[in-house]
Amino acid sequence: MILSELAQATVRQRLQNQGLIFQIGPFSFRLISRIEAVARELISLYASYTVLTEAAFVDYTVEIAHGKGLHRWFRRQAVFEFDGSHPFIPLPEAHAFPLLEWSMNWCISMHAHHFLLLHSAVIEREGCALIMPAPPGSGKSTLCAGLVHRGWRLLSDELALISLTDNRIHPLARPISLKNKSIDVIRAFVPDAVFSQVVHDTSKGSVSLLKVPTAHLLQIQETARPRWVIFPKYLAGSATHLVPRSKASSMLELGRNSFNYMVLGRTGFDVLSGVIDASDCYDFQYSQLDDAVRVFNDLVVKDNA
Amino acid sequence: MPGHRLSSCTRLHWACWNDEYVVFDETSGQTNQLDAVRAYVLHLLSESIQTHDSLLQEFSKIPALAELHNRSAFLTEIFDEFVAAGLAETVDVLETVEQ
Repeated sequence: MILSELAQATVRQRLQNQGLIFQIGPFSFRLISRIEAVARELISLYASYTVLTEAAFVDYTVEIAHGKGLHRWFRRQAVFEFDGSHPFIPLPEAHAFPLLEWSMNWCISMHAHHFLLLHSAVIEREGCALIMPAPPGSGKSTLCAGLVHRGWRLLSDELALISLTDNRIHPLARPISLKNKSIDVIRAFVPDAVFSQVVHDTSKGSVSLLKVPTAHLLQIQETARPRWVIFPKYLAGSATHLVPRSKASSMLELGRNSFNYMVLGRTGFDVLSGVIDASDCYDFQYSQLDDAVRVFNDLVVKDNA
Repeated sequence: MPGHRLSSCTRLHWACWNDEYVVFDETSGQTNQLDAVRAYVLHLLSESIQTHDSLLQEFSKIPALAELHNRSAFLTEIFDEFVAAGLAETVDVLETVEQ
């Protein structure tokens, strides 16, 4: 069953009580919240995600709760609760839905050590994965959002989940987090895209989440093999440049972008070097999404040739 | 006589692409990127204890390195890097041989 098959009143009732269990890629999340914005955005952005029965195994239980004490009434807060702990400081209640997304990322990045986890966007074409690790502000999510609306499939905007047994990348397609000017850029680039309400004054500025195309969710079980590692950088007014880069330095940079490379030890090294072995590595600079799409599509054409 | 060898606790694993090398020390969890010269020196150290002179001799067998006019200082620099990275350690060669 998918979420949109449930009545909205049922969604709210379950969210507020026992929680709703979602299957998202290889993970199951029990989501609990009495905050209306969370219910509203889930109904909008998670409409096509699989909802599991109460008997299902749950990997992570995430509750976005109201603040306690005076914060229940004044300067209302949203609090992330996980197994009785509060990993993040409380945020204004208006930030509840982005907080839910960040909390789900935290659960995976802190615990899912049966994958090599990279802080990276990943997209796919013809079974081949393109990994885009980059620090905040590099235009990674904007690029990712643009490409997934021009023929590339979203595997993840935030976390590359790399199998420790065959190096394949598992999809974790969840809404793409866009910030500040990127929100309007993607609104113009994808006029029919569905966004969450813009939340202002977060630690990342203004944030809005972009709904994943339903067709991508239908393929959420399909893994992809690593083929390209591209380090993107948005530079206003710049021409588009795709420049090959050293595999060794790319490997070290991916290691620095990993949540658990050090935790995995020898296995992490073997997997990461396997990913680099299988990938062409580039630095990429851009300012125009259309140009970026053309360059990325050319990679696929070149590969097929 | 001072010499160098691989740090006794290291367990190295290698990846290489053309003349770029990455070495992972399983014990420390550290990953280092090496050029071909440094990779070659580390490989020699992993095979046996090397003195400064023995490595200079090895360098003289490789045309590109034999032409370097400051080979000795270059080698010292490499040793220092390896020691700082925990990959190599200085030993007394005679004492080690006696043991």
